[in-house]
Amino acid sequence: MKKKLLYSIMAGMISAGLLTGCQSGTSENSQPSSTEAEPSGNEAASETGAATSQRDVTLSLGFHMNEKYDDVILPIIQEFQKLHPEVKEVTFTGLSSVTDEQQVTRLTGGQYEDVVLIPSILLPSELPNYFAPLGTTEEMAEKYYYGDYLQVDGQSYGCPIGVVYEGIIYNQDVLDQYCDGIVPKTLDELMDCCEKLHENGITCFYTNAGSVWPMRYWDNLAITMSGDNDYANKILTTEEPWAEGTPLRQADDLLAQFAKNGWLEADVVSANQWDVSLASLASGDTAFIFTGTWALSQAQDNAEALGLPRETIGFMPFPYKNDVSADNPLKLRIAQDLFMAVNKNTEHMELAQEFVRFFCERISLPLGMNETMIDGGQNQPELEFLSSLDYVEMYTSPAKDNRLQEMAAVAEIDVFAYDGYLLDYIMIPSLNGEEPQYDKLNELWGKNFK
Amino acid sequence: MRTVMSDKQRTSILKALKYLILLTVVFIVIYPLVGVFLASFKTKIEYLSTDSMVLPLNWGNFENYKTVLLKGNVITGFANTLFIIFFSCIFSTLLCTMVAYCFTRFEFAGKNYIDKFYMMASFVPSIIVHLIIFKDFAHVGLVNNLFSIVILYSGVDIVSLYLFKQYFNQISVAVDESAIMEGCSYVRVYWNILLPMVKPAIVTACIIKITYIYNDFYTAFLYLPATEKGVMSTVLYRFIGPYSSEWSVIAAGIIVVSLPVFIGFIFAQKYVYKGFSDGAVKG
Amino acid sequence: MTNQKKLGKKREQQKRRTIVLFLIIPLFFLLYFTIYPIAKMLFYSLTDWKGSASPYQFVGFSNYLNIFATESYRNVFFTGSYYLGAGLIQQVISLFLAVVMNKKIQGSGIFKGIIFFPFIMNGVAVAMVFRMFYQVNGGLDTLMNIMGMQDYIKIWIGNPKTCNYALALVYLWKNVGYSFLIYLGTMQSIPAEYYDAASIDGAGMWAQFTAITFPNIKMIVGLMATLSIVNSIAIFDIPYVLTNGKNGSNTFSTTLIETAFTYNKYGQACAMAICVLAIAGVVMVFKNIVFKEENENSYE
Repeated sequence: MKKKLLYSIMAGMISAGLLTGCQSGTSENSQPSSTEAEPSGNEAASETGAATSQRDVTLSLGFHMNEKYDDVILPIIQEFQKLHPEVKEVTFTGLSSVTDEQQVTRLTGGQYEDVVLIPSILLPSELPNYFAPLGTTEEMAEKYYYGDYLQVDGQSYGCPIGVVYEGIIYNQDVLDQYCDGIVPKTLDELMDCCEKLHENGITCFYTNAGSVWPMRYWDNLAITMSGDNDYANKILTTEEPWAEGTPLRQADDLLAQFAKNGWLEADVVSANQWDVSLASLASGDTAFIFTGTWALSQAQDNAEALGLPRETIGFMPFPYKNDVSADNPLKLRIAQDLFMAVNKNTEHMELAQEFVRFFCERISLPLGMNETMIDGGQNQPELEFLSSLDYVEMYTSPAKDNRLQEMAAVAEIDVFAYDGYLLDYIMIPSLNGEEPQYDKLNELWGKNFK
Repeated sequence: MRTVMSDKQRTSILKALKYLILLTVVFIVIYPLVGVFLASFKTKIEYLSTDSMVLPLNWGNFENYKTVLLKGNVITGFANTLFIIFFSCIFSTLLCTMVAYCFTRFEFAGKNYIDKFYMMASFVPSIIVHLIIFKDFAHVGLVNNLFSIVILYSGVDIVSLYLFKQYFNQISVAVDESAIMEGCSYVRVYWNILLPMVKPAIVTACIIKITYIYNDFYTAFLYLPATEKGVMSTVLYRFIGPYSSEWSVIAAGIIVVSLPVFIGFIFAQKYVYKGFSDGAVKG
Repeated sequence: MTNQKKLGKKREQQKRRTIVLFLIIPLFFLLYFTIYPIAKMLFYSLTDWKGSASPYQFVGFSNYLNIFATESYRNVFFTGSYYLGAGLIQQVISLFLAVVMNKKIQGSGIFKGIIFFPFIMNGVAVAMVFRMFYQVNGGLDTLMNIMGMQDYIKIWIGNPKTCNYALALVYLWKNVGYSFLIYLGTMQSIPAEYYDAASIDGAGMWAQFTAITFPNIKMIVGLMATLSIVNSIAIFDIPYVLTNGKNGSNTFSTTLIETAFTYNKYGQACAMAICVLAIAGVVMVFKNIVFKEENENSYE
């Protein structure tokens, strides 16, 4: 008899645990709270839809920059709620520390928010599996910079959260001290300046190559240098994109030369040194960081923290050539950043689609980016001066062909995407007295043409 | 007389050597940690602009600790973690000891294969496993439910299984048999006689399980994305942004997060190392 | 006689019921968390699955052939050798420490706590500790300056010659406490009388270790050795957070994750996972030969 009792207690413990688990889970979930994430947009919505009148709507939002929720994100939500009083609540899931791998797993499990950031590793061809189209590519491209960037079959799936300029963030004090205060406008001036900086023990460029993502600017430099805004798509048909004389080779050669000359930070491999690099730039140990203008305000914050004026840190286009003039301008790439999308299973499709645009149009400036609207989009005030420079020509790239990512996968060279290959094949050999491995890159890329 | 002296000398030399070794180990463990400890008292910009072994300007700077405690959701995280640990330890101990009991006391078909599969389980890449099973968990509503993690951790892991097998093997089967003679069922033997005898193994296995749960952020973020379902391992991540991370706050976080386990371990170990139960051993 | 037979039959029945009761839940978990994913991976490893909903095609064994045909995949075995070395050193050190600490010793509580501490620490915390330790002018450089070895200072992570050693050392630092705890915990299962008898016979420390300690814990030693051998190619978190697998520090697992998530070649990644399991299988066969499991304690 006692034995039976024990059996049932043990079985009971386990099953009771599971059951109460489910119950406590749902009951806790139904308590609304401003920062709560509902397990899934559609589920949450159907729950509230059933309980209350049709008009009460809860939307869910997944975005990074958790730390800016109160200052930046919440005001936008409240403004939207004023326009749409039926939106009783917008729940927020902070994605800052959710890795891309986790985000993809959440997508495949159907557990993602009504309006959510698209993980940058997602294949564009997968977009229709998870997201609703936001409009035709023509319509989106007319309205937003890179509005057609993430497209499948003529439909656009990603709303850009802002655009940035790709160029060099520099420390003016360092240039004043070692380079006669000249902000390099030509390649020769840049090289001269770097030589002087190097002689004085200053790190010329802090690349942050170990974190991988900062290298995409070096890759995009090839597009800028080529003069062909659509250059990224041209390598689809190029069997040897790193052959002698190609723009990719030219851009990578520049990086290789910097590495050989010892102009880069000492440790290019360690990951997550972004903050260190900004502090190093502010304190004058580093002169240049080649990145996007979204980093400008962060760098200026660092200068301020050291008691320096914000103007110490400035922005310039990358001087990749000589004889720069109004007739032979330096090109400056207007670059895409991240994109947001609407859950294809959302219960409130129209509201969600409106909200995604509303959110993307307002989030840019507070995050240190230019607004994404082509007409009437504001730029960051500290970048206004660029439009007055007659030797600078801005451009945007057309949408990337979806095949590019597939070819990159075949070759396992993350060109024009993640750009970890620059460290492996260009920088590390150069730092260790070897030549960049262009033949190897060509050979790997050639796999696509077999 | 002389030999006794030299014996004594030898033991004291051996003892000194022992302490020398232990102190070296302590140094190797602690030295890299000093940098984190120092960093936890530095301001953000001070951390970024000084070398790691440079002492902080102001030892009274507890701002980082304040930030962790106020903004880190430490209390919620700790409560949720305790909940998960409590149930996971109970379930996994039960399951592991039940399997170990069957493995050591019974002969049955397929036993060796099950054992092999438990071994295999530790080599299946978990990120891929989650890609496969997350859907099912989502489907039955186990996302943002603390029990999702409990279930994930309740499975039998190979190391605990071996640990329990080792202990059961050291207990003479005569102990069981005398109880069975008196009319005890197998379940009673397991529950009333064997389980209390392997307490040190239970504590050891639980310490390891707790450490894993405490530090695992991958499953925590995946299955418990809601803020109020945060656990201790996610406390640190609250301060790691995609671009900018507050390392000095994280340093304080590391200390705040690691201390409870450290203290818990110091208290728990007296149960681990009390020595194996006095009587009832084989031989 | 018939009474005893009846009793035997009853016990047989009871035995079967106990096995079923005790194993049903663990086996369900095993089935769901291990066998089911392995089966799925086996299936996907024969396809060009790109993750999720997209249609896939069968590609036969080409994913498996790729593993051996691709240089970057083959390199991971070379990287693994560093962790294999570290893993074996880890077993020796932790066994040694466990033997030392198994005796009564002043302040043992705090010593055990400190040895175990690195294992308590969060992976990110460990990565941060060692980023500060290896960075230029970091903890290691400071230490070498104090010891007058400044000429040997290198850019530890950035230099391809030292990178893997540096990472393997982190692995060793973090995991010694783990195997230490297991070994010490296992040694506690050895009845103290054994040692008492041995010291009366005049056996020294080494003799006690070879005659009593090791034979009694060899099952666990075998398990830990197996785990560390297979883990040496499957190591993930340390290179993932410290170097992103760059500078020749890619392991099987970091490559696998990159293959799956960065390049969307999930089928290929599954083949790699199966490959790890196959290697694990081979190592287990060897383990079973070297450390034969004895089970003298089952009911008749």
